[in-house]
Amino acid sequence: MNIQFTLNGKLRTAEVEANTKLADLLRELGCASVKIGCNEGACGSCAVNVDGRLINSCLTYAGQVNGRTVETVEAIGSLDHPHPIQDALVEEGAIQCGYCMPGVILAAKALFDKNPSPTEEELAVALDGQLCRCTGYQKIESALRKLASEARS
Amino acid sequence: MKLTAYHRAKSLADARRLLKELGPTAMPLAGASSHSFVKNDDEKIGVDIADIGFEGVECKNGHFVVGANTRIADLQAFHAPGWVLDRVALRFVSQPLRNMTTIGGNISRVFPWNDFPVALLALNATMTISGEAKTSHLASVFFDGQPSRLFQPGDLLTEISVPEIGEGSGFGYHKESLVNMDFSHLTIAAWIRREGRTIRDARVAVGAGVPLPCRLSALEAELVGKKMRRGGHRRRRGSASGRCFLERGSRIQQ
Amino acid sequence: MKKFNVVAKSVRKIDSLSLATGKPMFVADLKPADSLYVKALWSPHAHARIVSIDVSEAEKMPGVHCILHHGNVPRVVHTTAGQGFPEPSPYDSFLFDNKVRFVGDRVAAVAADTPEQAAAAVKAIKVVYEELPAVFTIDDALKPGAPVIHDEPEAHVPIPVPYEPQRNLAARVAMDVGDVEAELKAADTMLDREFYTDYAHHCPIEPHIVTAHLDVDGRVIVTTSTQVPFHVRRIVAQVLQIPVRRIRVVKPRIGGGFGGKQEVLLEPVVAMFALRTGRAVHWKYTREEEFVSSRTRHPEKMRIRAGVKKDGSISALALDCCTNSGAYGAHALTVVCNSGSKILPLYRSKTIHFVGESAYTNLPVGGAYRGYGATQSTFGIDCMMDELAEMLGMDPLEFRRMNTIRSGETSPVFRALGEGKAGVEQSIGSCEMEKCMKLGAREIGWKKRGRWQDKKGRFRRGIGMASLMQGSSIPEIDMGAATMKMNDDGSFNLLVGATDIGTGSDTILAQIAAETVGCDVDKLIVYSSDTDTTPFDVGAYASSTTYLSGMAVKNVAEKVAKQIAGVGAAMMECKPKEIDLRDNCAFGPDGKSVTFSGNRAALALWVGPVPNWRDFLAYHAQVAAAFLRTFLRSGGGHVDRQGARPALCRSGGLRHGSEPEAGRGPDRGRRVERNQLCVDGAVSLQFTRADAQSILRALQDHVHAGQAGAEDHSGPQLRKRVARTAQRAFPKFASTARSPASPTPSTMPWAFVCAALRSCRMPFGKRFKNARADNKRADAADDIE
Repeated sequence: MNIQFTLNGKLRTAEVEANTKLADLLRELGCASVKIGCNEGACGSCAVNVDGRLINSCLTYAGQVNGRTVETVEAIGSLDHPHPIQDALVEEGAIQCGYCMPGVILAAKALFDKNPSPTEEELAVALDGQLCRCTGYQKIESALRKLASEARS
Repeated sequence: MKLTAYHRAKSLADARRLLKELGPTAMPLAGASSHSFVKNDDEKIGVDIADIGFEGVECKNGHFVVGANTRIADLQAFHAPGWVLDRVALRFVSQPLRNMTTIGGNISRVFPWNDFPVALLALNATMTISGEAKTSHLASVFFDGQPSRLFQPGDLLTEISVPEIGEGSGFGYHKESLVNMDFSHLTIAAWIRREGRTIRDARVAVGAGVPLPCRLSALEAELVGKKMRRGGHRRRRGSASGRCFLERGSRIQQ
Repeated sequence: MKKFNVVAKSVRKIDSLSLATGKPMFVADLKPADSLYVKALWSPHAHARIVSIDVSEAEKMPGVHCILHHGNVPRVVHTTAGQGFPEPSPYDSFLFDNKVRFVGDRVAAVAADTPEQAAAAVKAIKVVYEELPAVFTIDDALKPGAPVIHDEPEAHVPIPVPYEPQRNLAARVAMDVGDVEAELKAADTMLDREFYTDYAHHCPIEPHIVTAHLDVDGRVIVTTSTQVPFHVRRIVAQVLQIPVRRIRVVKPRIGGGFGGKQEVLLEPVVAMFALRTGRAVHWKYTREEEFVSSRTRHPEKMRIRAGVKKDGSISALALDCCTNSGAYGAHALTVVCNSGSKILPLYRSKTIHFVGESAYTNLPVGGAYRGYGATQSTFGIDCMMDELAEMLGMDPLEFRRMNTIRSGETSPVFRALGEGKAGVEQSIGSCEMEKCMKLGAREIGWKKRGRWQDKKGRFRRGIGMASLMQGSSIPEIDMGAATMKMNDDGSFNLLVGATDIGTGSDTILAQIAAETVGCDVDKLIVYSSDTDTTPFDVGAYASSTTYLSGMAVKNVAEKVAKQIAGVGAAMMECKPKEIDLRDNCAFGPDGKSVTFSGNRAALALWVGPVPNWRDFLAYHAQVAAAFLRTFLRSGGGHVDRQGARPALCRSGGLRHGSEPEAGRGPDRGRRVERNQLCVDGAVSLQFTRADAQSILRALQDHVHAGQAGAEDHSGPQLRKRVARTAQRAFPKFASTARSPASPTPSTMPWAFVCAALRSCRMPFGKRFKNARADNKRADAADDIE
């Protein structure tokens, strides 16, 4: 089956099987930021944004993104020009092993794109699908809280 | 399960045609998020119904008409007087899953821990199936067994009509799980209408810990006519017994 | 105190931006494109002998390149524990064995072109098992006549420590100071209690994952998610019977370890496949395999006896504990030894008795896990401290303060308990436990805490505290080393064997080096770890990297600094001693300076490796007092401390995996993972009656709590109150189920469901009142018929 979708701003075509999951396809296409932690939708480390919504790519069939727009962390910031969310997390020391980080960053981005100054509650709800085993979440939350309050002021 | 082929339907008619033509192994793909815990080798043909419409919530004559393709996240984001599913949605798994899962997908194929059947039972919602003709089923009928029994080949659930919570009535929802992500141990939804301090009408439904979500009708009957007390409940502390609650839900018996 | 320029300052973690931008840094990102994929056949039986294994059909399946099983690999007894050699863990494991010892034990493995082909081939392997009787509890395992789990003649421990596989004893350690029994008899108050801690899983977000391939010289390059690259190299060499020099182990970034990756489990299999096929081979555990077939925290059963004098001093402290090691003895001795050695010295006692044992059972295998044995017995011992204080009528905080070890003191336990040998005598250099307690007590409002006995209800909320001690590194056993190289632009390569697994140790070690040579931290290029290029280090465990490897880095950086000073002195015509290194420059006595990247002389220097072993004799013990608002569950006058305490004593706020339903019910021996329920049509919920009962109780209590003090069923006032009370009852629940500001009419959803449920019970309460009076016993035992 041939599918065509926009990946990080570029139109990509791929030959996939019906059973191919989006996470595997994205990794094959070179998006190393898509991590597979549990492969059953529980950890959120494979999360990507499809049409601006955060989804777990390990539960999504590749065919389902045919004609849609997919965004991974590769597109939203670079070493020289990190996205403010990436910068905030680095500055706060919220990144330990970093395996969950691409998912966290995309979850935050999906939220901040719609709502630049979310409340603590909204932050908690938007990030409730991202598991982190290292940090205890405190620093992730405080980094994003700071970002939200900067947007408010 | 394993998808051997994937089709995307353009419209309801297209979806119905595909499902009928492709035969019994064809199944509609709503969000497809439940596929992760069906760990068998069954071969299926997926018919993606994401593009056939039926999305969004509309308010009509005291009812909210919810498209079956509405994502849980949209139920969560929708706010209106008398609308309570936003709170049910908030307890649903996690943000990515709320973004993927549709309410139709959550209730067409019922696992014991599914959140929405319980709430819809208490709310006395009506489910509309689009087949040769449209047929509507009250929640109590729809969930009285796997809903699949009500579907003919090619039939799709398209609409859910949820009554508004009117003046004098109330709704509560409780999901007992360690975290949202966890499968629910016990889900309870209750709806009550009162006049003054007297309960005139009640619907209580439970899910998880039971094979299929169900109403606790005997318990509802007991509720009706009872006066709601002010305070005084402390006295009754400890008299609470799990027995009362479960014994009435006859399906819970082992 | 010395003024620091780089250390003790907050710097950006050096790899964090690369991680945040999703660069390919983990094992899964680095596997060669044409890798073969591995799938394993796991034992369906808790204890069985493999009568025959037939792979002929599987071998013919498409894409299959190689199948490994006990019939075609060398039989080399070893331990999978990634510990220093010679390991104190029993050699009781084989690459593949003719016997399986738990559900999830390795039977065979297939390497094929795709994971699907490998999985299909696994299904085609035909195995005939002869089931053997199995044991699941510590008590059953140690009973005379119990089935012997390790009956193979090869099983032994490479160091002289007690080991009796014929009676399922995987490890034993004991010590006595004074006559505990006599002191217990003479004590004014004596307590004798049993405690039990359960399984837990590390749950790193990145599962175990390994890739191996052969280089042009035929060496095996193993890229693995590990905490212990050098132990991996040694054990792979041992198991495959090839020289260490033929193996190179590379550790890229690691997605968390928490002890679970201090185990050499997948590497020998993958390396063997690479050697047999000549291809790159890749193996990643699924989450399910991670739970069942990796390692866990040892469950521990302990009996603690303590005697106290009226003045509050402890005169006798006896700890008899036994861990459930599961099917193999990985880390068995060290973990159970830590159960005593890390906890007993915390409290001063005239007499001490300690016996730690570890029993083989047919359950998943225990291993290293944060805290490493100390957590388990801390739980028991600290529960005891509370109870003892209560019996004496003392404040538990005061009781602990009185009995906790202080600066300048020593404990006979240090000398008695090493790792399978005598320990090293040590005294406490500095200890701020008292300060910890004082601060914590002030912050949490300890004085106002009240007594749990004075509170009512099944849930009683209050304030509790625990104190604990943890050690770091093992003196005279653990070691680290570092190599440092200077480049012509004044930057330095710092090569460390220390294993950054997400802990930030690369950054910390860079800070130490930068501080020592007087440069900025961004001048350090840190590389960890590669057994070909970085010097030996035991790896990331025992919270030791900063102290142990950090001291090695300091040593090597000092040598580099000395050389820089020497060159600088020659350039500025002064004595090396007069040179001051700071700000990337060498300053002479007259204020003149040359930069490290000076154009007159490239200071190309190379030093190392400088190991740190002898330098690190001090045993760094960390003590902490933890205060927590907690609640006790009581039922019929019995206070369930066991239920309330783990929150305090088990490290971290996470639920580390699921608690297994091990050894109970029809699924004996199979760990039931709630998130792995398989469903089709008819549903089987792994749900016990007791579970349902306690949930309903909790629910009802919550409902009551929600209604507490409610006098009015309308208005925001009530909503707020309900939300507040609910918050206290179920913080998680209330945070999402709060009454939102959304414009629901004045229907007060919460008040209503509370009222509904409360009312529901009214008639039943009355109706069953008499029945209950008639049959109290039935009511107490069984609410749900």
